[in-house]
Amino acid sequence: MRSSIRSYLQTETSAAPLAVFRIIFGNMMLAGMIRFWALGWIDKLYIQPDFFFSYYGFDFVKPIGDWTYGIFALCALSALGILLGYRYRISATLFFLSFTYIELMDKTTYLNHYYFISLVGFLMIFLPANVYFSLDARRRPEIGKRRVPKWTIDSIKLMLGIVYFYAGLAKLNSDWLLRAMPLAIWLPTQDQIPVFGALFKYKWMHYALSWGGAIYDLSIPFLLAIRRTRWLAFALVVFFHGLTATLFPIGMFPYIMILSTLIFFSPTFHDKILDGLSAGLKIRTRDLGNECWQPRFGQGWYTVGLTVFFGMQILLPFRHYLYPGELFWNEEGFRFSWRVMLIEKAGIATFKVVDGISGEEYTVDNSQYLTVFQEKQMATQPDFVIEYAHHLKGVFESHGVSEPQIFVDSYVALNGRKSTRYIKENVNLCKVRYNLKHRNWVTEFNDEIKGL
Amino acid sequence: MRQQFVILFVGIAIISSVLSGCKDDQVSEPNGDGFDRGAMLENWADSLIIPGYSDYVLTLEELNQTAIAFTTDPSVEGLLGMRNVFVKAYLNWQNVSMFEIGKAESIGLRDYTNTFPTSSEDIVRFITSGSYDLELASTRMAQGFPAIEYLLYGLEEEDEVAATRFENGSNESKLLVSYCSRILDLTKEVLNDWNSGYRDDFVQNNGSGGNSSVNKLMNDFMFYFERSIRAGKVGIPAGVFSSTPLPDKVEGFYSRTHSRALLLAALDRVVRFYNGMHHQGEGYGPGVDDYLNFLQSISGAEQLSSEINHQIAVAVEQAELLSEDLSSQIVSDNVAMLKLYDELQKCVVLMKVDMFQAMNIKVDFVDADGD
Repeated sequence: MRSSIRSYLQTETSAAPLAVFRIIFGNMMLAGMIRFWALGWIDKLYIQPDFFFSYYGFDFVKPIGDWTYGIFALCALSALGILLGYRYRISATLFFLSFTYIELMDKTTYLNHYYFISLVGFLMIFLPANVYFSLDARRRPEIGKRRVPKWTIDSIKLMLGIVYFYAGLAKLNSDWLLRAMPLAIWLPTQDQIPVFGALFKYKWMHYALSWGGAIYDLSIPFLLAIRRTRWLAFALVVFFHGLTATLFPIGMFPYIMILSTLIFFSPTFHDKILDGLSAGLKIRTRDLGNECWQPRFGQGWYTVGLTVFFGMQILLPFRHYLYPGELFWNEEGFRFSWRVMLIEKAGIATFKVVDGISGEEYTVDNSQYLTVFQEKQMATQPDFVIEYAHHLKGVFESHGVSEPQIFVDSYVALNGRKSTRYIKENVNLCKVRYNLKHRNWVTEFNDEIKGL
Repeated sequence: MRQQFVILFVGIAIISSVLSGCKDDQVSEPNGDGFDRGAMLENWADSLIIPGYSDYVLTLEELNQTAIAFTTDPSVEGLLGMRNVFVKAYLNWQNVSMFEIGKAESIGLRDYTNTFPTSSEDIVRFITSGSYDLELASTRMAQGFPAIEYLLYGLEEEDEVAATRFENGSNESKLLVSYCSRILDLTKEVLNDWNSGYRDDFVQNNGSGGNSSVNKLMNDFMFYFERSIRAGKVGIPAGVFSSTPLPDKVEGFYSRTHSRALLLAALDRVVRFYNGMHHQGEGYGPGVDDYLNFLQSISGAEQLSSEINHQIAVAVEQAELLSEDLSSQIVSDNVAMLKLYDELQKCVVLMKVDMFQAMNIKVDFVDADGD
């Protein structure tokens, strides 16, 4: 066992796939930053709002006014550094830090694929993605290498595999498989999509895509890994992500995934891409010999680090088992678990502030404190409700309300079920603490969803 | 390499044959006809929105002529006649207020027409100085129906005295005429737009994305219901958002007797819009209720459409119990007013949570990515 691990760690392979992945990743991230900026989302999401929702323990990470643009500029520049392989370690480190900072500023914008990018960004810091086809290798010929350990490429494949496989596991629940929810809500109105649109009014179509989606997610990592099925798998990747890109407003994610899966292809395939790039951009390349990159601090640290990193990736999505109650309702352990496009949840939350001395009551107009987007996210997620309630406490205290008590009248509808009360009616939210313990102030879900 | 391409093409061939093979099954499925959103948009445009604006413009023209006639030769009878036409026009406004889409949205028709409470200080300043620019956004709270109402009902206690304020050439008379023609001009601009191309754009934009007519109008409708009806007409004056009731913030405050009628007219329009009913009479075409029924018959969710109608009816019943002057209702028995607010809030929950989910409506202005 030990010797097979050792021999695996010493297996070498071409550095081309890693170089191509670096170029694709840098390119997509640079494009993503420019797109985000051009759409005016920096202003809309991080400058305009007065209040930001924090992840537990990260409430010190906030937008910094107009300087927030600087964080995005830094992120874009470091993405360019990754793309070119220029001062790669620093670029990758800065990219990971700035991108993760951006994601931590307001959890309203939480997306699984942003989390995915943070994780890959972190991994990239430690991978020798700049030893081949990079400015670093041109500047400092001594670091240029033709070969890298196989595990460096496999670690990215494993990360991608985890994303797909866990997204598939998450779909193994009774709402998804037996009620075809939420696709039965999302698809029928999409009747103008070419070819498929006319079929979306049929229930069997919702089942076909629900089951197809689950089987796709669970099997695609293996189909990509096996050489004989790789092209079929890639065709499926293009088809499924193409379909979701047409159906749902999910931005760049489908394209990032389609291009990322290219890493599963053979070194020869990637050599062709790089040859094409060299010819197209008139880049002169030089022969690097057959030397292999070696970890600077020895193999041991890398083995430990990777084991811890992937161990966390494998365990974290199951942390919801630590909580009682329905995961989709309580959302305890929902994020960072590849539950992608999994549920349809809508809600409304109306807060009442009571002056603890005079007994005077005020109904809060949420639009005074939150953006439409924030209000929408807040209404269906208990950790948002509590943070917002605590913010309101401060606001109303500063307006002269003494010993405020805050109650919320809230309703949530999950996957087409009739809306029911969400937060318990008579709970004074000022007395509730924001922590990671089970939230018994959320009502119990009045139905049962079976599944993982 | 050749073998890989063969696998790729076989894969694509299997997928496409499965998909095309499925197409032939249509007959055996229920609801095979689908739902024609374009027909619903056509029904709204041709039978509710455009006729509503046309009628409203007619009463605004009458309001203008009456204002000119009255200020040329002011009298108590003239003032009473002016008030009658004013009330008629104000009620007609409730028929179109919710359709803040297209031109109405871009010029901000609702804010210029019906921002209340109006600023009596600004109006008095306009009268004293005789100068004002009603196109300035800052004057929105000193024009429109609430401002006209202040001129007609709020300047003087006695009708005899009030009538004399509008003597030919007086600043009051000029302001009254400016107010009336301002609303008419803005509204004509909106109606002309519907009649010269926007109607077709509206009907043809029959998709379901964020910028489709259905998605936009449903958001506008919900905004109107929450902000203008639930909060503006009921919640704010009843003191829901403040420490004490604010009876002087009702719509139609100065005329004293029309605030309930204005509210009921607005609710009637909600019912008509929701059920696809025509501008007048009992005729109807496809509406929100039919679209909901269609979508929920597919998804197998609990039917909502009649529950929403029922809840709106409960709210209307509660509104009918109130005094015709809502400000005196608030002073004498605010509990009934708060009860109405609660019933309207139940409508909001049903529509904004359950109905929006069932109809897959994307909430306004949220154009960030999802996952």
